[in-house]
Amino acid sequence: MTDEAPAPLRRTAITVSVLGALIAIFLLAPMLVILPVGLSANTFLRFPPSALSTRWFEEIFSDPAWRAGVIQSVKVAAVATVLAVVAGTSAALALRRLRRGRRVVRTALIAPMVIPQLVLALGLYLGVRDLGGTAGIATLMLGQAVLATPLVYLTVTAGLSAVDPALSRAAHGLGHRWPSVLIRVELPLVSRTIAGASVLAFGLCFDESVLAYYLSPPGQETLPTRIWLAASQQASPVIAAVSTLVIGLAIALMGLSVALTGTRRNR
Amino acid sequence: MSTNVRIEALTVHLSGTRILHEVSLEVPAGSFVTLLGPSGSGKTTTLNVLAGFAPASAGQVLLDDQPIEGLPAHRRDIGFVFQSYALFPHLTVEQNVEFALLARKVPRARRRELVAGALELVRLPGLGARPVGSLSGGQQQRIALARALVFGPSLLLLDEPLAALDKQLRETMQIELKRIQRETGTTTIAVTHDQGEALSMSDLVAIMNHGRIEQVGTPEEVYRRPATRFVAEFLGDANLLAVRSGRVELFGLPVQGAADGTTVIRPEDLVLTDRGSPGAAVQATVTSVLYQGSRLRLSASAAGHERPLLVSAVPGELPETPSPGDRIGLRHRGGVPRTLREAVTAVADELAGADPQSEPDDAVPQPSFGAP
Repeated sequence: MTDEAPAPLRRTAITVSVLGALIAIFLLAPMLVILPVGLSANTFLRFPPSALSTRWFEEIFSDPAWRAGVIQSVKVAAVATVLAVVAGTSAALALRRLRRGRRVVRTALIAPMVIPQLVLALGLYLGVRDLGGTAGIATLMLGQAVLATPLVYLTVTAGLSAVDPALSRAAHGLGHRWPSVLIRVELPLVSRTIAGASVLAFGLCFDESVLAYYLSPPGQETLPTRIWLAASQQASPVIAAVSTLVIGLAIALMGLSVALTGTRRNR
Repeated sequence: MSTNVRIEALTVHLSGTRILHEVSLEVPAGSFVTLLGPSGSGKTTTLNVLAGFAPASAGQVLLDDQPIEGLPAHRRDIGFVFQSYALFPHLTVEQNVEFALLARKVPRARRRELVAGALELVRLPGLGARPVGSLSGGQQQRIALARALVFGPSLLLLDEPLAALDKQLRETMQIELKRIQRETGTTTIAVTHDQGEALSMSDLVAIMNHGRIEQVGTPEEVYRRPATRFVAEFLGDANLLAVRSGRVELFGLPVQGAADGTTVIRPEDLVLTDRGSPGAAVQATVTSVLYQGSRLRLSASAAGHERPLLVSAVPGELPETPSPGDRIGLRHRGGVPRTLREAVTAVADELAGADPQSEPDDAVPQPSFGAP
């Protein structure tokens, strides 16, 4: 084996690497600006900050309004995640058995990914009102679950594709009815994928801002809504500090999800 | 406790394509029957229909004269060994083997006993606590067998049971499969594309092609007396020779069966003689020699015959090893060759096309096309 690739190939590899790095910098630059601003000692948003301090991070943890926002976001995202995981996993398992019409159902399941969130928010708001209710936190949870379902469905489907379909047939042939096959064979084999999908869904719901903005009642805002409101009223570096925390959480969740779904214990 | 199986005119259509065409087969209780055929011949489909994994379009399957058509897979009481073994990767060996017992609500103590017995049967005792991922291919195969047999199934189905093993292990497992089958007495239907495997393991071989059974018979019957050209060519090397007016071309032997057609003469039925000796029926020129240890394989061309004649000889029985270019004499070892039917497909189509009603009902379970 030769150590060096032919010259043209090497040039291509270098070009691709340089372009990739530039694109990554372009995408990540805003985050690189946010962190120092959040650590600023100034009273206003300003880049670069003239002095550094952790005062804005301290303010987040001491201000009950921010804490309430975090708690609200966690609550909403948790319920939405549970709903999405149940719906997405069920869909993935069911579609595996479907012989015909799989593509139609699949397209319908993925539709929430491409429908504008504004439209979804408005539809939910009007729909709940027409049914005689008032759109509130429960509607928000439902809406976020709809958004996260395709993500769960796609992740679990990918995980299932690595599972030998003969395993389900073997379990049936050995005398087990489908609920038993589901509990004893299919779910255990994709448990890590489901865990990974849950983490992703939670991350998606936690950051979700459009539905949250339209559907959360005053006084029950989630964190992203609170950031938005704060940003529209003042230009305090606390916004940058909160954003840093949100980004940090998103990266942590992404890493956790990759760790869960990436290492294949089974096959 | 053995169960006999009867497959009656089984037909399967899958998304518009006909996979099986009126397959009928009688499997005597306690016997080992192999469905042998190339890929796409319908053998695996037959197995899947038996197990309840695929629906039949027409025809039926009877276990001990009871139709099983309406039964879902989990109520059929059939053991199935998958080509990939399909062991549950998240369970231990013991949990895999006892899987069927859990569905049958067998008490814990009895489960232990049965699992231990099954592991004993496949000669892997004491492996229960191991995760199945840590087993070798041969061990996985044995565990898959134990799992399929632990609940005392009425029928054992094996889908290409040895295909995933290397050659040496395959031969050991052939003997093992046969032993386990004999010890349990379970009626067994296996599927394979490997003719050697089919001949050495089975009591009966059913050769399939294009969704039909071409011939059913004992390994010796189907090899020595193939009914059709396909069977003759699929089972080992064959010299196909024309039959005209009741005699085989070149050799002039009388035949059994139709006066015109084709017959098969196996390479080992041809005997080398000195050229010009009174016994020699055919004069030929050696074109290639393959030394294979226990056998010597020759190709020879004879005047008036296009394809080379294949000869298989025992090296020690020859005065000297022939080499290419040598002129030799060949004669037939003896016995009466039989004219082949061209293809069973053509015959069956004719029957079906003529008048489907005219087929008598009792003609359906045909144990053997090959019986003289």
